[in-house]
Amino acid sequence: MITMKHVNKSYGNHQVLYDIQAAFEPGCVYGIVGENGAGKTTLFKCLLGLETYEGQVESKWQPLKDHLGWLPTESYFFPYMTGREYLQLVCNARKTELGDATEKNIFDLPLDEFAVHYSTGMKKKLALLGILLQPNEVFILDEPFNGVDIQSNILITEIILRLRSLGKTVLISSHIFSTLRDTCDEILLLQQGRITQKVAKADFDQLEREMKDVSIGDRVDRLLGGVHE
Amino acid sequence: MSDNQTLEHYFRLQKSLLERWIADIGLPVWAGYLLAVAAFLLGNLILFYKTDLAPYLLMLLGGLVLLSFNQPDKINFLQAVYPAPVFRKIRLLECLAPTLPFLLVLGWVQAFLPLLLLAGFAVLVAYSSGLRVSRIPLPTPFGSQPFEFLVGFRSTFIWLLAVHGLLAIGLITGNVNLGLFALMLVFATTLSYYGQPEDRYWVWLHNDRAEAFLWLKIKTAWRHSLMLAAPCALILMGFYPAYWYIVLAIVVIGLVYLSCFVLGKYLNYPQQMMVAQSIVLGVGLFMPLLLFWLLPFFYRKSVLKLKAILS
Repeated sequence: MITMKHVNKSYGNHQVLYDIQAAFEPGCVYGIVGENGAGKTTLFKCLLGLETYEGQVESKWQPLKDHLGWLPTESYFFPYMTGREYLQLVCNARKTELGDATEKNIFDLPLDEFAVHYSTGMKKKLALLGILLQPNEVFILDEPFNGVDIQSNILITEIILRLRSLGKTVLISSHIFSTLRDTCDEILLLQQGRITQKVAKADFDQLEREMKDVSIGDRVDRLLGGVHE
Repeated sequence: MSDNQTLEHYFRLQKSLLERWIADIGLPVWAGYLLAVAAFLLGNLILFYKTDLAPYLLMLLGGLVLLSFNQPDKINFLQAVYPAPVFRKIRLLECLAPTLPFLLVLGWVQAFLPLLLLAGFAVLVAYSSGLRVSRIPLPTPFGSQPFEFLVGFRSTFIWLLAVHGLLAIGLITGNVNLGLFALMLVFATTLSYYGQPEDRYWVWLHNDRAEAFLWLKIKTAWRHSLMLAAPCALILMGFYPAYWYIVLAIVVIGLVYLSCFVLGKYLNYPQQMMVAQSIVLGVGLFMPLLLFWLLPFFYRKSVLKLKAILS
């Protein structure tokens, strides 16, 4: 279990996270939703230990970072490195055997080609494959469905559900509500650096309606009303 | 906007980016320019004082500098953004600009053959897409620890071929100094693999403590550099057995320098090495005994920086 207690984060005078309190249980999938700039990635980086913060992040796994698999929104790939070599590097970092990469290549990636030449979706799948090959207990997936084809989307959803049944903790940030509805046990709504709602599965539809109302409002009318009607 | 205005705008932007980079490393812009010119001139003076082969080495260095500016992503971006004639002009100017100081020196010393070869190479690179990142991965012996050496070897492959060409010329002409110099260049090339600190993600990913992480990096650098330099060193020892101790000394000093560069990469991590630190390292390269003091100092500083991420 991971517990965030009164976590605050500022960059100079600009406060990004306000008094974050949350608990993430093993065998549960959590969705983190919020507009761009709401603080999702900063929250993740505090959990990862990549940002300093006020407050506490407690966990039974020590150090927590060695048990975390992080899929960033945009992964960096070194030039002149093949997909297979990338997987080797990622496994080496956590002192785990890569084994037969071809067997584990469930996304049918061209592992012997340079990863920098992969499409956006292929890069996302390679980075995801990398953290899945590590013996992680917690997975933080920042936009795992972005740019990924529909077949892989289905596969990633299945993987997340399997991770849950294996007792792993999964945190997902996604702008595609349906993917969260399919996978999450709880959704945390992050607004301007504050967790304003924690919504259980039974209330996801209500949350989606509320988010639609707030997000859409009269914006479409304002944009298209005078021009196309 | 005319083509010329587009070009002017592009190069003004490049100048601003260069000056921001100079400011980022903590230097006033004028001092950055002055330092670069002084370092280039001093380097040339030393090179021409030390060896008769200086024009050819300068030509190789010019080629290396040119290739280091030849970033495929940037070229693709330029090609996508600018009309074809503007793109071609930008590429030509961008390939000639970094080689120009080398061409001027080669012209000054009337070394016309290396001058023509370098200028021709610059034009070839400007008009060729074939020198961009090859899509066929070159097999390397560095796959078990794929990072600095794997990426570095593939990106400097043409340069390493040229260095081994120097070795071959040294062997054919019986010039042992040229062969020894080629071995030094192999090590100098491996130092360049540790020039840029990686993104924090790639350090964070490791489940080592800072000390273990650094030792792993150093041991990998030693092993891989020996794999790269061994053929050159063994051939030299085979052809010139009387010089075995010089070959061995180059290898040992090369490994010490390499250790310094590995540690140097993390001295100011995640930022690049500070100017003062680079100067200290540069002085250490010319005074190897100083390295016995520098290495523990660099190690302690790097451990401190890495502990912020790995502790």
